[in-house]
Amino acid sequence: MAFEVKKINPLDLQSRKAVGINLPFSTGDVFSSNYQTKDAIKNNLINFFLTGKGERYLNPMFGTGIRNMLFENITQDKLLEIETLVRNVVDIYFPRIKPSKVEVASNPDTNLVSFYMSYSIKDAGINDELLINIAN
Amino acid sequence: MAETRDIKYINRNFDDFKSQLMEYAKAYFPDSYNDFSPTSPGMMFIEMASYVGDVLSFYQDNQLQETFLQHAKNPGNLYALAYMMGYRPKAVTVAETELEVTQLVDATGPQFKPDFDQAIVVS
Repeated sequence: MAFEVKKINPLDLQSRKAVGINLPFSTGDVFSSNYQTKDAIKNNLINFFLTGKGERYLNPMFGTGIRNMLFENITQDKLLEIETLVRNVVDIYFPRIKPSKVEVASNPDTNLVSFYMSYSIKDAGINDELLINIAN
Repeated sequence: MAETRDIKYINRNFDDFKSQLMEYAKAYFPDSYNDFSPTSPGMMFIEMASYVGDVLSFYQDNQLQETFLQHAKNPGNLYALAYMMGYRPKAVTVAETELEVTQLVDATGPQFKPDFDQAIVVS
């Protein structure tokens, strides 16, 4: 019977080696490191989704510009558009990530828009989810 | 005693700064940072530092260029460099004067008014 081989990043096996840094930066040490690739990927996703196109110097295609789209009328078409955009950009910038569910919910009373994505990391057997709340 | 670190001083554009900073982090902070994918927040800081380096290098080159008479582009700097080397321009301006022109013409008609048909037209 075939079985799935899980790939483990060598950094995950060295508990003292930091991978990346956590968002947000408002901790006591300014930068708090993460020590698992799963956490690094989650923070990279947050950083990527909150970056608008053209914000990065010499990298105008980096980012999603999703923040601008979220405050338009959330119709079924718009949801589909956001989902397609997310799947396309994740394919390009996070080839190891497979989004399984993308949801956008708005709460006009509190001026809050929530962006939710659940995803899995290919070959690693890791499932995780991401929730970004954007308040106007 | 201070540790001697390998720092390159000749790579001075954005890509050079970025790759050098990445190499530096790999060489001297292997336990503190290991995520060099373009989406990571740490790379954002590396790119921001590279951006500052790139802009400062541009202005440094520009300032140096302006100190050479052969390459300076700013007219103010060109004049200053020329004056420093002894250039003393002769101030030449257009001459001005007041000129009054008169002409004697015949009188005409019963009222003896000047006959302006004889007047010269100055254009």
